[in-house]
Amino acid sequence: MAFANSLNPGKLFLTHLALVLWLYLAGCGASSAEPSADAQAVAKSADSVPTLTQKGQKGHFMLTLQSEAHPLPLQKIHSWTVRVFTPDGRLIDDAQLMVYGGMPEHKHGFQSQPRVTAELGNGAYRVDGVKFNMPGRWEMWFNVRAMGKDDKVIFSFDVP
Amino acid sequence: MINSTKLVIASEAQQSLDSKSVAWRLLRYRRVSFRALRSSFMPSGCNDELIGASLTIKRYMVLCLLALLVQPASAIGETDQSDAPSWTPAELATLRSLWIGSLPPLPPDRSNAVADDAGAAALGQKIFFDIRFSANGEVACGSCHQPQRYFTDGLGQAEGVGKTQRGAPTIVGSAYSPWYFWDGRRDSQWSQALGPLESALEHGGSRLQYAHLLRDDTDYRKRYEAVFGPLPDLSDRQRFPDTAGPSADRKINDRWQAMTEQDREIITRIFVNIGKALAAYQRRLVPGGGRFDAYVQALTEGEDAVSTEAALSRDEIAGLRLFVGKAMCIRCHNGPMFTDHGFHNIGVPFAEGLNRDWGRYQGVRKVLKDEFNCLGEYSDAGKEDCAELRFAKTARDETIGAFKTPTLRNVTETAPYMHSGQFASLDEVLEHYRRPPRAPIGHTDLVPIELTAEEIEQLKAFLHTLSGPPAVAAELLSAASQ
Repeated sequence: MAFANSLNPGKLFLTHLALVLWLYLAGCGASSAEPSADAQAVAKSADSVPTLTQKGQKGHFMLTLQSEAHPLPLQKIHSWTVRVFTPDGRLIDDAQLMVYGGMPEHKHGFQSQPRVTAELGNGAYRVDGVKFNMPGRWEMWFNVRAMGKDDKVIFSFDVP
Repeated sequence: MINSTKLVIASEAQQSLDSKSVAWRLLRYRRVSFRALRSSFMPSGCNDELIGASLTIKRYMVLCLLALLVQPASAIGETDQSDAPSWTPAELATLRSLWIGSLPPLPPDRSNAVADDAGAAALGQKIFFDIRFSANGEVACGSCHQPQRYFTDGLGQAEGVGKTQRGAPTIVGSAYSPWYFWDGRRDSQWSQALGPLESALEHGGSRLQYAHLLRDDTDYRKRYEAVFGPLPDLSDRQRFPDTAGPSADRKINDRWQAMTEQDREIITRIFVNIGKALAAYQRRLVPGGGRFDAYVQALTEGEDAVSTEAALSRDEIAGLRLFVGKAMCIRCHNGPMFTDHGFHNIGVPFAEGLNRDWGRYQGVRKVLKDEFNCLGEYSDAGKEDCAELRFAKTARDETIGAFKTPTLRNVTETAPYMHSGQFASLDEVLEHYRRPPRAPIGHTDLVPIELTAEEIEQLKAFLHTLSGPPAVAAELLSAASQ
């Protein structure tokens, strides 16, 4: 494992504001995890595509999640990028990630079987095969193993 | 004096009607004030100005009575208008997502290099309606996919040379689907078309039989070679028997196995090209709009247009509201094809006399090892074009007893319903959704829905608005023009 990036405390306020606004506007159900400096920097660099941020249930890791397609498409397989951070904002390479999810209200999973297909470096991992087949509230769950620790991170968001 | 009074009355009456019209429009948007409404309800000609215009009480009463006589007719029209529901911007967006106008251009089929080739489509159309492509010379694709029945056959279980276990779904708009057959055991239109041709219960023929037919028929040979290049010489019947191919028929299968691998490959290429030509024709069968689509179009062009003949009835609109709301139909029947192209276990009972049907659980396993799938050697696609297959869900709990969500376009014209025609009518279908039974295999995705008898009727009324002929030239709907 490696800490692939250092802290970038610049532009903290603006990025924080942008993230909070996104979480509010998107009706994101993620509990308001405080984004770290790195997470904020990554979110800032993402231009107009929103980035979700969420803390692990055990607090070992922080994840950011970003779709390659915006707005989120229905009935189309597409990819996401997930980044893994320590709680204090350092990016983590060589993490093991498993992804699954679905619509808890409807008690079904994805119609596809998404997978983490590549480690992109700089704490980033590619998630392929994501497909939303109906509008509504969806969840993406990540089981994360890194630095000898396990954690589970649950993102919740609306597909229009 | 009398003339000028009449003019005043006419002018006032017009103003009153105008204000009434405005008030009703406001009411539709739930922003109307009581005062505006009260003045609108007052009969035309009964206002303070006229009383003060030196009219006698008697004349005033006569005018009021006349106005009351005139009023009901216009008021009835206005009342109907007020019943047109107002849709929120979010609801309007939902309606537009179902609208035929939201149907994107035909998605490219990268697994089929001739998908958009006119010559291939013409060849495919000829094959589609040709009963020689069967074991008994009586079954064509068009036997079960009948154009006059929206490309279905009205049967619960399709009948070819034998009787199958599943219904023949419509093929209109199927080019938009990533999966074919009720269990999704094929992943392209061309590979789907090959299934029935070799099924012992459907066409009952073999790939050698079809290859010979193309080679020996002058017109077929000409059309085929124009698209796919020269057909090989198949005249050596020792090498290329009349009938041979992978088949449940042991003799046909044994002859196939006795052929060399190279010869089998030659024949399979021809067979695959038949599928690709059939797909080139079938992908042109795209749906047309129904009255629902005219309604949404009118809504998008401005509320007033709804009062035209495009408008739906009160019950149909109520049904639409249920469809996108309380009845939760839209969860799976979404998008302009009214399907999520997914697989769900909705606990439909097994058809009488038929075996347990595992649906998608078996379908996904078949397609993953299918020689004709997107990643296979006969596909023209690259790996990156095969995301649906590469990321197909196989989990037992989520595939067992699941079947593909069918389109609801023309649903009222394509009974019976479900994968084996278990339900004869929409009443039976809606009763199933209202009170879903325990699934005969796996677990049902459905939850009970509180729907009154009136609401069931409204939903049915709405479903009738989804009917419309395919948006294709008439010559594509028969073999006549060949």
